[in-house]
Amino acid sequence: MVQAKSSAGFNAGVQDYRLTYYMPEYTPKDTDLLAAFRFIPQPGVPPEEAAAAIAAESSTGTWTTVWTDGLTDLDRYKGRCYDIEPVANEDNQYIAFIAYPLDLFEEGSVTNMLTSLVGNVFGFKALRALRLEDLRVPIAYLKTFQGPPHGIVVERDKLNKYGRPLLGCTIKPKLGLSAKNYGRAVYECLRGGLDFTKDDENINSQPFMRWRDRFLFVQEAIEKAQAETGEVKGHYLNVTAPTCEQMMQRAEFAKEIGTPIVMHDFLTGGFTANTTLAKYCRDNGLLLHIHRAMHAVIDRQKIHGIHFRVLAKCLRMSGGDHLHSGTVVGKLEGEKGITMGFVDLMREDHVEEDRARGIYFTQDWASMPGVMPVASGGIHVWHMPALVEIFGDDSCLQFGGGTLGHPWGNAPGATANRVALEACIQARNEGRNLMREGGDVIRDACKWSPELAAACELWKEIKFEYEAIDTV
Amino acid sequence: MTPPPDNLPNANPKLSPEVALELLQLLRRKEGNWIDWGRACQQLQKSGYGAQTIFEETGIEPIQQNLTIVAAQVYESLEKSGASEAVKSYFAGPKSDILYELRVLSQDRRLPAAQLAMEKKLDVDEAHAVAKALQAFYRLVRKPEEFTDHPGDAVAYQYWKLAREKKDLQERSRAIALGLKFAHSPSARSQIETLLSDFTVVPTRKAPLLPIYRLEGDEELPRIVPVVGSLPLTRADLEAVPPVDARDPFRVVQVSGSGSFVAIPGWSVVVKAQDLVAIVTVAERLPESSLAKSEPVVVAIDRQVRQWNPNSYFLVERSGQLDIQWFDEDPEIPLLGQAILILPPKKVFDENANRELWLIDE
Repeated sequence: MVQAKSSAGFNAGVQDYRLTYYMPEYTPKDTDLLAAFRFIPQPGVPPEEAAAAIAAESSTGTWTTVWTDGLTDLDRYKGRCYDIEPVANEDNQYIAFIAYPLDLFEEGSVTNMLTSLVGNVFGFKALRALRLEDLRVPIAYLKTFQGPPHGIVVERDKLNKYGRPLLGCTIKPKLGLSAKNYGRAVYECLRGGLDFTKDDENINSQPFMRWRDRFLFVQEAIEKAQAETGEVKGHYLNVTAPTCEQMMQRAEFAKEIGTPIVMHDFLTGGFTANTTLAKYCRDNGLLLHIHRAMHAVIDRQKIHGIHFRVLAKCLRMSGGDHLHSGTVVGKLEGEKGITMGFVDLMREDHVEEDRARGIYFTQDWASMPGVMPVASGGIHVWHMPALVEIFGDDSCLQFGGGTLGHPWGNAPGATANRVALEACIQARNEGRNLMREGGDVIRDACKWSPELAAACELWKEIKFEYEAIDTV
Repeated sequence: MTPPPDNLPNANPKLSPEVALELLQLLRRKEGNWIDWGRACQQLQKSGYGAQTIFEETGIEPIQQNLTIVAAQVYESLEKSGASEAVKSYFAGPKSDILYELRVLSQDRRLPAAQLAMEKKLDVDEAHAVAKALQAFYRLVRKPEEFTDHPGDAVAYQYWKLAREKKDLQERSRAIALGLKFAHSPSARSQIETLLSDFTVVPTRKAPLLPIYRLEGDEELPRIVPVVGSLPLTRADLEAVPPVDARDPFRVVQVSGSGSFVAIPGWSVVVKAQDLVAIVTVAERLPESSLAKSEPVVVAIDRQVRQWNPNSYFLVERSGQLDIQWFDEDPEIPLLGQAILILPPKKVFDENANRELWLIDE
C-alpha cells in the first residue's frame, strides 16, 4: 500500500489508516466525544488497522488520499482510536475506543452527530461486523442541546403525582377501533385509576380513525375522567406524521384542545422531526412521550448495529419526557443489568462507568432533565412488586393486556393495577422487602380489592421465561 | 367498581374538622420538626385531603409533602429497629432528604445504612449513590468474600469495582479514595489497597495485538482436493490419483511425490465427500449447462459414490475418455464417481473494486 501522511506532500493512493488514526498514546480531552465500537475485523485484518479505519471513516478519512486533504488541518479534525480491547469470552471481537474532536459536530444536532459517527462506516468491507456500544458526550456539547421538554421533576409537578411510578395502558386492539369507541376505552381506563393511556405506535391517521377525530374524542374522555376522579389524567396522542409540517399541525391542535401530553415515534420519525417537536413541546407546555418503534432493527443483533443505550442517550439529547425501555420481567428482551444501565442513563444526572451493565464511559448530564423510562409489554399485576423494586418511583409502568384483558372490563383492570401499585409502594415505604414479600403484599391487597383478586386469578399461571439476548 | 382513591390501601376514615384544622395549623406554622409534618400530611391525605389542597392551606408543596411522608415512614422503621438516640436525633434534624433516599432499602437494611450516613455525614447526592450501591450489593447472588455485609463494605465494593475499570490514574485514585473512605472490614480495606500497587494502568507503549482469528464454521476451512487434470482424461488418469488424508483440526494434508491440488470451500457437501478429486474442464463439456461455453469449471467428483440414482450426474468412461453424464435408469457401464459440485469461477462487475478491502458499500 502507498502510505499517506497528513504532514507530507500529496501522495496518491489508498490509506494505511493505522499510521494516522491509531494513537494509543493519546489521552482523550474533556471536550472529546468518545465512542466505544464493538467490531469483528475480516480475517487477517489487524485489529489496530480495522479500529483505525473506523476512526477514519467516521471522521475525516476517505478510502484514498485526496488533494483537498492538504487544505485542512487533519490533525485538528481527525478521530483517534486511543485504545483497543479484546472482548472477554468472545472470539474475534474487539472494542475500539475512539475520541472525536468537538469541532466535527454541529451544535444541537443529534442528526449530524449520528450521521458522522455511524453514517457510512457500517458498510466498511474490512469489517465483518460493527456495533456502536456507547458514547461519552462531553458537557460542552451537551450544553448545546435543549434535551427533554420538561423532565421528570416538572412532569410530576404538572401531574401533581409524587412518590410512585405512573401507570399507563396502551389501548388495544392496535388498529381498527373507531374514534368514538377508542375514546370510550380511554375514559374507562383513566376512570379506573390509570394516569395515562396511550396510542399504539402505528396509530397515526388511518381511514378508520383520522387523527382529529381521535384527538377530540380522547380529550373528551380525559376531561370526563379528570372530573370524576379529581386527578390529572392524560393520553399520549401520537402526532407522528408523514411530514414535519403535518406533525406540527397535530401537535398544535393537541395544544389547542388542552391535552397534557403528545407522543412521537422517534426512530421512524427521525431525529430532526423529534428535536423540532421537543422544542415545540417545551415552548408550549406539552409533555412528550417517545415510542421506540423500529429499535430492534438497529439494536437487537449483538455484534452489529447500535446498542439501545446509545439510542436512549441520543433521545435524551434530542428531547423526550418518556421513553420505552423494556420491562426486565416482561415478554420483551433485555437482561436486567443492561436494561437498568440504560435506564440510569435516561434519568440520572451522573452515571459512572460500569462494564457489568454495559456502560463504557462515565457520563455527566450537566443537569439536563431526565427521561422517564417506560416499562411496557407483557406485564400484569403479579409483576408489580418486581417492577417497583427494579424501576423505582421515577418510571411509567404500562399494562396493556394487563389492563384491557381483565375479565370484568377496562375500568376494573385499571383499578386492579392501581391497587397493586399503591399496595407495593406502601409496603416498600414501610420497609418490606418486595422481592421476597411481594406476593404476600399482592395477596393481602386482594382481600379488599375484588378487581385485583380477579386479575390475580386470571394471570397467576402466566410465566415469561424468554432468555435475554443482551449480555455484556 | 369504585374508582380511586376511595378503594386504595391508604384510604382512612375522615378526620374530625377540629383535628384536621389542628394538623393544618401545625403545618402552616411549621410547628415541631419534619417528622411531625410528614405524619400530619399523611393523616390529612389519608382522610381525603388532596395534596393540592394541603399546599394551598399550608404552603408545603406536594413534592415536599411526599418527601416528608416517606421519610417519616423510614424514620419510624429506624425507631422500630432500635435506633440509638444519637441516630434519631441526627435524623430528626434537617435530614429528611437523606432518609427519603433510604426508602428503597428494606427495614433490616435501613438502620445500618442510616448509621453509615450519619457517621460519614453524607449529603443527599451521596446518600442517593449509597442507597443504590447497597441495593446492588444486596442483590448479588454470590457476594465477594473480602467484602462483608456491613453497608460500608457494600459501598466500598462498588468503588473497588469502579476503580478496577478506570484506566485514567486520576479517576482511579478518586475511586480508590472513595472506596477506602467507606471500607469497614480490614479485608475490604486491604482488597482496595492492593489496587494502589497495581501499576498495570500506567500507560506504556503496547505491543500490537496478535492477529488471532478463531474459525467460526466448517466452511471457513477449505478442503484440499487432488486434481486429476483437464479433460480429455482417461480412466487410468483418474485411478492414478491417490486419495488424500486430511488431519483435523486444520485439515492438514500430507503429500509425497508430485501432483496438483485445488482448495475448495469447506461447504457441507464437500466436507462429507469420502474420496474427492477434481477435474478441470470448460462448461461446454458439461451436459445441459447454463454457463457460457468457454467458461472454465472445476468438477468435484466423489469416487466413493458409484451407486446410480436418477438425481445425480456421474463420471463414466466413453470411448476411452472420461465424461460427465446423467442417466434416467441404471446404466450398464461402470460409474466412476458422482459429480457433487460444479464450481465456476467468481464473476463480478468490477474485479478491481472487489479486491480492495477498505471500500465502503454506502
